[in-house]
Amino acid sequence: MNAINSFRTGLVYFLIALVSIFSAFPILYMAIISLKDRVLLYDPSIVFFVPTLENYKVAIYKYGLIKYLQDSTIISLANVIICLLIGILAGYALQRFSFLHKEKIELGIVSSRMLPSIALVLPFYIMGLTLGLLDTYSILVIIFIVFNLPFVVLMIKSFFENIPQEFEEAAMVDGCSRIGALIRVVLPQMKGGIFATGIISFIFAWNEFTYALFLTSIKTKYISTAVIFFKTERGILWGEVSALGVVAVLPVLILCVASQKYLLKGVAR
Amino acid sequence: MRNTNVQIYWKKSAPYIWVSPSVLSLFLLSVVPTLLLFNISLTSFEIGYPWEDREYIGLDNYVRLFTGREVEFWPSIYLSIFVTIICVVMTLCIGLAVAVLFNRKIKFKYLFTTILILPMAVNPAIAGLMWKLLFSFDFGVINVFVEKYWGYKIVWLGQKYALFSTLVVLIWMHIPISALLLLAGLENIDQDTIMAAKLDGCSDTQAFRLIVLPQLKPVIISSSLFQAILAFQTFGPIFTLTNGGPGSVTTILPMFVYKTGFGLGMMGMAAAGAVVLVAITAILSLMIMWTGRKKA
Repeated sequence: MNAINSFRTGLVYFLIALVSIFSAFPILYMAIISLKDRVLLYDPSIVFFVPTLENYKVAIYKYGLIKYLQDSTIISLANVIICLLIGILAGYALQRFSFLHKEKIELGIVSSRMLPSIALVLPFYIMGLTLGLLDTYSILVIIFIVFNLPFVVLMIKSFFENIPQEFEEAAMVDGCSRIGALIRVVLPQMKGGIFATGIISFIFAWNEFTYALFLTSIKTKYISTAVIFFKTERGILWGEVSALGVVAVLPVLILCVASQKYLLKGVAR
Repeated sequence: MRNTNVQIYWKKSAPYIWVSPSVLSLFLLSVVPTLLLFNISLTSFEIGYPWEDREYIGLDNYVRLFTGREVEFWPSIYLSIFVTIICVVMTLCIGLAVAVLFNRKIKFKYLFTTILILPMAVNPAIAGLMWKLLFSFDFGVINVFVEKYWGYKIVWLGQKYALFSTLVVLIWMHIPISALLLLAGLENIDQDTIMAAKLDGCSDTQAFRLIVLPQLKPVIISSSLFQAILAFQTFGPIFTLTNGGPGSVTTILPMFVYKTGFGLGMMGMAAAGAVVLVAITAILSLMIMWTGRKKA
């Protein structure tokens, strides 16, 4: 019996290790390639080598990696802040008030997240064209609302469920307005949740590809679209692409690990 | 008296004021574009021409699509359905296996769960490139192993295997979502019932089949539908991995929309394809909401 049990435990860990390798290997491999010298690049059987930062230097100086990072950070942050500001109001109202057509309004908010980006990008392209907004920060900041705001509203709403209504009622008895009670009493209690929601929606924005690809080009550079510009007549410059991929993925991985607890909730929506 | 009337009126409209910024912005960003998309689909608008010069041609674009005069359309629909079914089935099976695997006391659980969810955090476009590197014919690491054991290399992104490779990437990307959802579902199941069943002589497999699976059914259905939407909308990874090729071997519906609209510049036709895509997504979303409501 003991032998069977220890065999089972061993099997479990073996399978978990297998799953982990399958999940992590492509990312690790890209990181390894980004550290390889160009000469060694085309021989994958070389496992031990002297790492070089040459690819990162080329990505920074020749391909303007810093500009990509800067633009993406500004756009994602601006979008997340807007979504949090208006999303908290909506999430609060949907949780605390009862009003006519509440369910329909909530359904409408949620369902706009399901719209396929490749379909919406066509009208957004026309809108950007006629409004002269193509290739600006604003167009991405505004459009990213369509997938981040529904997420923020739902997350925030679920956080309010855990905070008893008595808190703001007490504050309102003491002379606070409802919005004052919300800001001074309720929001400080859900700092953690708001922060996590912000991080996850930042990841969603940072990883957006379709809108960024078709709506920006020269003046606004988005990190997820950078990778496709390394296709040259000599084929893909794998060293540089990998360096760029690592730089694009690393911040997200760090944020993801930091907010892992909350990610599950976010996915479950 | 008048004062209280105003107060009541104010109280009644207050919730709407709170939700109005969100509702208004989402209306402008989802309903308006969808209507505009339908409008574009009725025109022969092409990229490079001024939007004012568009010509309305009725349902011509749809007629052309459905009668098969756009040769890539129907194949892309069939391929989308095929890809979606494979993705849903595979993510469900593997996700369920992973969830069962993780639903116990294990050492370093936090670390392993973190590794498990990594693919979800990777930018989809970069995920496509990562795998393109792994699948590369000359210097891909997969071919190094294949050559070692079988003595020849495989053209992973060629005519024969491109679809298979694409499916591998999509499944890799989407397993964590299913696994996490199903794991959460498993953790919600009352352990006492299972213990009681086992005391009454139930075997492990019987307990899983008769007690766990029925309780997991709502999660299985909603996560499968969610996966279906994800698979049906996939664009980024296929764009960077195969760009729909070689030929149109991996051109699913979103790739058809992209190729027609931004590749050939035929925005009107692409919009018609996109309307079909939106309609299918809407049906799948309604199914999610319907199952969600039945559960509650």
